Amino acid sequence: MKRTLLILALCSLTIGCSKFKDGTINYVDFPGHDPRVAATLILSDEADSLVAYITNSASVTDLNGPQTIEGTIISLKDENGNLIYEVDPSHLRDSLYIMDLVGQQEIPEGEIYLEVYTNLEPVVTAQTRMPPKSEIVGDFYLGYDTAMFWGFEYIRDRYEISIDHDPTIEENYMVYLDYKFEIKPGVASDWRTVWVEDELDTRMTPIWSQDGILIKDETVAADPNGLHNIVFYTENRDKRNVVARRIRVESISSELESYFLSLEEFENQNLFAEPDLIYSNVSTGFGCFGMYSYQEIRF
Amino acid sequence: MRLLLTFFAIAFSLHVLAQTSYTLSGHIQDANSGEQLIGATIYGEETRLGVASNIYGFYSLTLPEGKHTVVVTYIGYTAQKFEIYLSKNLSMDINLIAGTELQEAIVTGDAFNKIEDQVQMSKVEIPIDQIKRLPAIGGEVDLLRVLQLMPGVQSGGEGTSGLYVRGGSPDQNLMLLDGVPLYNVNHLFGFFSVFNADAVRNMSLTKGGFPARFGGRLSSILEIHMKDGNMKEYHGDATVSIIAAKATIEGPIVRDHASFMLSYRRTYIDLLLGPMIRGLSKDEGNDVIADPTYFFHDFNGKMNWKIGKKDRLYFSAFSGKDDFGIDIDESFGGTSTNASMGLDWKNEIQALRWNHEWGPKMFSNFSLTHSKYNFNSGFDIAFFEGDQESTQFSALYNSYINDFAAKLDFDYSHNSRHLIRYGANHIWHRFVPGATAVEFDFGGFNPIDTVFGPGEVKSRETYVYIEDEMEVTEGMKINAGLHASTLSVQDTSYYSLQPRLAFSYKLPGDVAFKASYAEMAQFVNLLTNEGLSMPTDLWVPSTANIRPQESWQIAAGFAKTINDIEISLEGYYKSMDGLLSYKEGASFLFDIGTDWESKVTQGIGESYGYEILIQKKHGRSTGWLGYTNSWSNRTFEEINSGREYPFTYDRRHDISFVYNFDLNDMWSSSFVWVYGTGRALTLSETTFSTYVPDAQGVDTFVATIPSEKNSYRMSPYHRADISFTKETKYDNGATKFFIISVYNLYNNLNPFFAEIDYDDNDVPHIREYGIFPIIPSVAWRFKF
Repeated sequence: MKRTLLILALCSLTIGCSKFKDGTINYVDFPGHDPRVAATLILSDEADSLVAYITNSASVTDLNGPQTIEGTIISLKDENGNLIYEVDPSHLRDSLYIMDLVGQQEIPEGEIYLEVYTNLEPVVTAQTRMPPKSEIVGDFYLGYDTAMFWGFEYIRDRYEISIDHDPTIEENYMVYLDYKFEIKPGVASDWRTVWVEDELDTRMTPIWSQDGILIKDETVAADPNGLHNIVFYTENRDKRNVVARRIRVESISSELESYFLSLEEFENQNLFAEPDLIYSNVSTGFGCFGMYSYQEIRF
Repeated sequence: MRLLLTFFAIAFSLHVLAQTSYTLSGHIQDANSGEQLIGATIYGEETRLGVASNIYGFYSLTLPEGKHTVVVTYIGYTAQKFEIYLSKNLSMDINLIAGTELQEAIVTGDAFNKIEDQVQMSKVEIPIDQIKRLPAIGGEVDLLRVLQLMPGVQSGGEGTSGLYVRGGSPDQNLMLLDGVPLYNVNHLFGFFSVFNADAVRNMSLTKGGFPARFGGRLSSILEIHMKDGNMKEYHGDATVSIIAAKATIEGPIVRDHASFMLSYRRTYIDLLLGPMIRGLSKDEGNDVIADPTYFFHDFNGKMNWKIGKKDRLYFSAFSGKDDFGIDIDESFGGTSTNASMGLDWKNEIQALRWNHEWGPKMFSNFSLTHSKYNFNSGFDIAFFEGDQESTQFSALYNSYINDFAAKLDFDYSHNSRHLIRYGANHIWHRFVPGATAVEFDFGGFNPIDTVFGPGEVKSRETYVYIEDEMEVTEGMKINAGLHASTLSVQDTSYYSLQPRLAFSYKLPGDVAFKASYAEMAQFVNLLTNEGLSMPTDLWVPSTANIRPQESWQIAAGFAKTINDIEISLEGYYKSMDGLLSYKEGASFLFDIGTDWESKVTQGIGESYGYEILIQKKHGRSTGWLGYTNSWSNRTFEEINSGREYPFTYDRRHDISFVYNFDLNDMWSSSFVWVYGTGRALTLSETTFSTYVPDAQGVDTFVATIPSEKNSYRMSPYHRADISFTKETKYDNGATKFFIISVYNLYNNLNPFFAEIDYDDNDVPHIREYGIFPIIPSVAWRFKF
């Protein structure tokens, strides 16, 4: 008995140690992937064109990745079922479906329904609504103060906006700061979104992935200022010959708010957290159908 | 509520009209040690009326006036039978003599308190002696890992001791050590539990059909009772395994009046691995020295005094700590770095309990308890140029929960058909969910010295309960009760009224049909990322913004004993609301300035399934076969885009087979085999294209995400363990044990976690990692 136990123990030890050396086990095949339609359509009330991105989903093992689905028909309908816009295969430009909206009707109030017909079943659906516009005023102060980031001092410009919104309905805003720089004498660059930092203000959530700030009205009831006196800062860039400044304020649908927040989480994956999913209000689970009312303040 | 009160009133009135009865009461205890025996049965042979002793060994048996043959039984002990003539109330302590496993005279099956005789269902009990014989990793027996072998109970992962009961989370288990809740029961990141088997007398787990006296958690009640300490003589027990060493001593302080028990355990992983790591870390060229330390230790202590015939005082204490740290010194050229980081977590409880017998029918226990769980982690980095410190950064994170409680319980044996329990409990909670102190000195700029994180949250939790365990007719038993609880926190109050009902009816052939309904509420929550049970998991309270967790569970099944083999089949459905989870992408780390309440979301869950258990508790061969077929799902508005998803520990099939066999007087063996469906896992296995609007138009990109949360299953888990124990007895009463065990006998590397891994050609694969191959181990135990 003793001898048997000793042999058993020695064999176990030998095999066990060799396994410890490797420490890992087998590779497992990926589960099969059934492609689904991913549909993203984000529309502004001031947009000159409608842009839709319709692709199939793909497994990570597919080295070609997701591809635009040709032959797609996209329709936007109002809550009475009336057709607002219809995008067809003739609108495909490279990988995006782009339809000129100049001279087309505006997006009406109420629920807007998206339907996407492709060669993949089933028909993709989603719904959203166009948020209303609000009165917005803003101001700015160059070289307002100095701040420190990881030991480095820099000069900051201060921007302040006030949004006169309707506190009886939930509204969310994305705020961006865009600059044009002189790239050579007399020639300005395109608008470039610059990084902004917020104050410790519960109304503001930085969305680093978009270089913007999300302003939520959930806490407005408790804030005597409502959505007034929203203050944010950016590094003073006068040395780079700023020729124009604007603040973009987008009143976004709740779907867009969830989409931007999930993108923010996605961009900042936390090793200690569960993997992130990107928010989707599209019936297949991939993509986003959202709208926003656009306004800007130019300085 | 009105229905319940009417029911109690009718039930009482029926018995008021009954004939003259008298009560036999006292304690049932071990004759050799004076230890109180929990759940021993005493009954009148002629009347077939009987009761079981409570957790303090107290019994109260009311029988009609006259002559009776009284039988007292307890599994593993020699039964006692005696005759009495009852013409008045009698007080009598009964001493039972423990038998050895191979003696045929001892009780191997309870003649009166069989599983089909008990109204309680969904309860698991495993004798401690049986647990000690099972194979164990590193030879260190673990109580919670043994419970994982029971149907309806799952582990958090390979080798870990977390409990997931009927689709519930680990925080939904109320773990009571001598009646005091323990918040973190893990050593070594969950690979061992804090419960030292040598200090434990009895353990039971209730998964459903909760009696009204229990509350505060949704999924299970784990009751662990420490040994009281031998009242007659001194005994000791020492074990040395490859992981840890432990020693226990117990004995009388004043013979037959007061006793003590002390037990201490410490791992010596640090002593074995420390020098090895220090040696390996030495890098030629650069001078790098890594100095790691890790150890855990725990202490159990208990004293009890018989103050008089009717009073007894107990003092229990437990303290357990894990301490991990590493110092790294690195020098290169003229610069050097000194970094140190560490984490430690500590549990401690104290309980002072006073038992009093108010008469032959009434027993009370008053407890004052304290429970604290404290977690610290931190790091400190200093950079030097020459001897001059250039930059220094340090952060210390602290989280704790601290409870003080007062509890009063009464057992009133109205007669042998009615056992009424009622009582009240008040807990003062103090939480610091997590605060981080940061110091940053750049040398030349203004240094930073600040504290982030939420402040202290205080809350008060109160509950009252009443239950009546009654035998309505021959073969029909009911336990009906009501548990009412309230929480006051941040100027907000929550109230919860929880009806409880358990029913048992004996069908022809002595098959019992059992059913139960229980509503539960929970005011404390554990924030965890659903992986390992880590010390970093945060205990947080229900607050003005976080509503309590609530559940209701219905269960039904059959139970029968055939030749000392208990067979039970149970089905259950549990609905949960107010479940707490981190939002997608959130964790306690890297966002120290954000309030924890903004990182969490609340949702609902459901779990259902059925369990089969065939168990033999005593005899030359013992063990059980368990099977669970279950489903567990969660729905959170802010997780998985609001769609329902399988819980991480949703396990379709779970099988366990445990077999212990005494080969002869000296050798015994034990064999375990387990199988479980693979754990649910979220893998980013799908790509799709999308865009965001930007200043110039649109910005397109390809995202790689999980298609659904927990949509992937790791490979099934299966493993066999075996152990052999050699027992050598000496003439002086001492016994020596030599235990050899092999964990994962056929070396199946079960997946601990999985990830997507890209090969040299950028082709992705799912790679599953295992951590425990075949592990042989030996342990020596000596007791006197």
